[in-house]
Amino acid sequence: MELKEIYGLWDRFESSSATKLELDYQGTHLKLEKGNDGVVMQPVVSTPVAAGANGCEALSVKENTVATDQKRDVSEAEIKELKAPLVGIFYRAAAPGEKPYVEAGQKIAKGDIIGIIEAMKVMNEITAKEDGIVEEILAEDAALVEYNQTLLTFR
Amino acid sequence: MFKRILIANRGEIAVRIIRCCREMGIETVVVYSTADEKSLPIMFANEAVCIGPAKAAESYLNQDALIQIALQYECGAIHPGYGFLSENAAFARKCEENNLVFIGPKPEVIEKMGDKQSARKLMMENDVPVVPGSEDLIRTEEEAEELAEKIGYPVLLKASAGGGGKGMRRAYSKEELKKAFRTAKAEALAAFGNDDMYMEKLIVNPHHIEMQILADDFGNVIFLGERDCSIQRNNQKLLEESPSKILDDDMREEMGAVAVRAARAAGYSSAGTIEFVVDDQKHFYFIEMNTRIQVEHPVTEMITGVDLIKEQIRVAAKMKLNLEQESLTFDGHAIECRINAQSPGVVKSIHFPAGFGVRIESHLFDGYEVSPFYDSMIAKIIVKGATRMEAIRRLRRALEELIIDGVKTNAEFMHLLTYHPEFIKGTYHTGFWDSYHEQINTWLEEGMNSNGH
Repeated sequence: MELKEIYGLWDRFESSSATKLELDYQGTHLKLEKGNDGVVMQPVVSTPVAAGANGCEALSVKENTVATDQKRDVSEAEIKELKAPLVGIFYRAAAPGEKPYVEAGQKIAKGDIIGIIEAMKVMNEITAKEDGIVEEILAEDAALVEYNQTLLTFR
Repeated sequence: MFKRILIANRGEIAVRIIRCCREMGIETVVVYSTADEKSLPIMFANEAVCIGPAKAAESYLNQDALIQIALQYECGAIHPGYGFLSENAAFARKCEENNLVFIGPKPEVIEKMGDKQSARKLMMENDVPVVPGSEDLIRTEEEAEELAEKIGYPVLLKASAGGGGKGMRRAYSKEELKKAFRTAKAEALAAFGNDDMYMEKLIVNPHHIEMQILADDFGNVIFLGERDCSIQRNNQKLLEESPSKILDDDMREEMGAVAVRAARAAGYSSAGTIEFVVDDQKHFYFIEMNTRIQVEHPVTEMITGVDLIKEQIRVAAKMKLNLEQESLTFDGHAIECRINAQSPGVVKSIHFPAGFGVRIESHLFDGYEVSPFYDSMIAKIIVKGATRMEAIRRLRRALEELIIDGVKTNAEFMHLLTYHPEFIKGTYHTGFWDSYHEQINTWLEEGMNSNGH
């Protein structure tokens, strides 16, 4: 279980009227308990995941039932960056007036051209290194990009 | 005057140039490789652009990217610093073609003086004394033998396209000559793809004395004194000083006039250095010309009061030199000591010496990471004194005060060097390192007793 997820659960527990939460989830055992002076967090112990185990196995609450999201939020860790392999002017389309190579939300495959970087009159095609879906295009059309500057993000 | 300059370099020289530009009201754009992401030039410049990965060939030597960035940021000029592209005629030409001023001499001049044999020839045509040697390239072993008899042994065979000590061989007799010729040629072909050879008389116990000149585009050339750079390890300078104890006033005047003549013959403009070798009989000979600002330029600045980087920028902006030879004075004695990192690493804490007569040129700061990709020089300690002995004592004090924590340096070694009797005498030659570095290392390991042994 990611630390982020534990904190998310912890916050929810804190703001709820539940006083105790015990959870076994993907190899993590978590026990949260509210004492008289607030939430007491027991040490997190990782136990080996039994073969075939998936999702929430046990959830016991002292007084109220706390509904937890079974499906994990798609976290920030999935976002990848495509960086400029050289310095030059970045163009989103093959030529002025033409449709851009990619837009946000578009599916890209490894080897697809996503833009052009012009270095001293030489046009360099910039290609995707892996499959994915374009999240956001960060580099401006016809602007100078530095080496390693993020051109776009994708998942 | 330029509104904005691109600095195509890194480390202490980039910091030096940026400081000068700030004082002149010129905006600065500096390029950096991924290895230099956390460095002083980036913190000081108006704009910083990442130009490539650590490997110099893909970043600091990337000519097209440099020009592209300079144009994009509307820079009027590019300062190449030293090393990297500072003596690259092709790059200087590319700048010209793109209406960017290259801060240095014209591309043709860089080319002419960069080819050692053609530089030699040009000097001979202009009555500049050169080391006795071949007027042209030597084609065969027989030619080499004939010439060696004429010049007189010992002789030095040198590759015309050479540098860094490669493609060079000595021959002390006829028997050694044939083998020396063959091996030098082979080494030159392997290292430079060019095995053109020429021959010079080998100067025994040579002193490396170089002359600083400044020239503008209006025919003004002035001489700013000499620097004695004889303390070298494998042709890498460790310490430089001015004036040199080898020269008397007459020699200085004569060599200065020759240096000016050489610069004029080459059609030079900007800052430049004429290198001479001086033997024990006070004969001096032209070796080569460095068509760039040099690492040790602060030594000259300390004794003349002239800001060489500022003059370079002014000359590049087509301004006249506002210095006159007659009004130039040499005051006191200056010494520069180079501090080199002996391994990469993080400089956890740094304390630089300060006080009267001490100048530091460095890109170090607390937490700076010395990377393995570039030159190991991390600081220059420059001192000035009214006399040579005062300067030496000041240098000792400065090195004692210096603290660089986290990376091993040569600072302690250099400190002990200043106590060596041959250094104190001041008449050392380029054999100093070979003769005495082991003794100094022994002092470093075992300590020195009060007799100085």
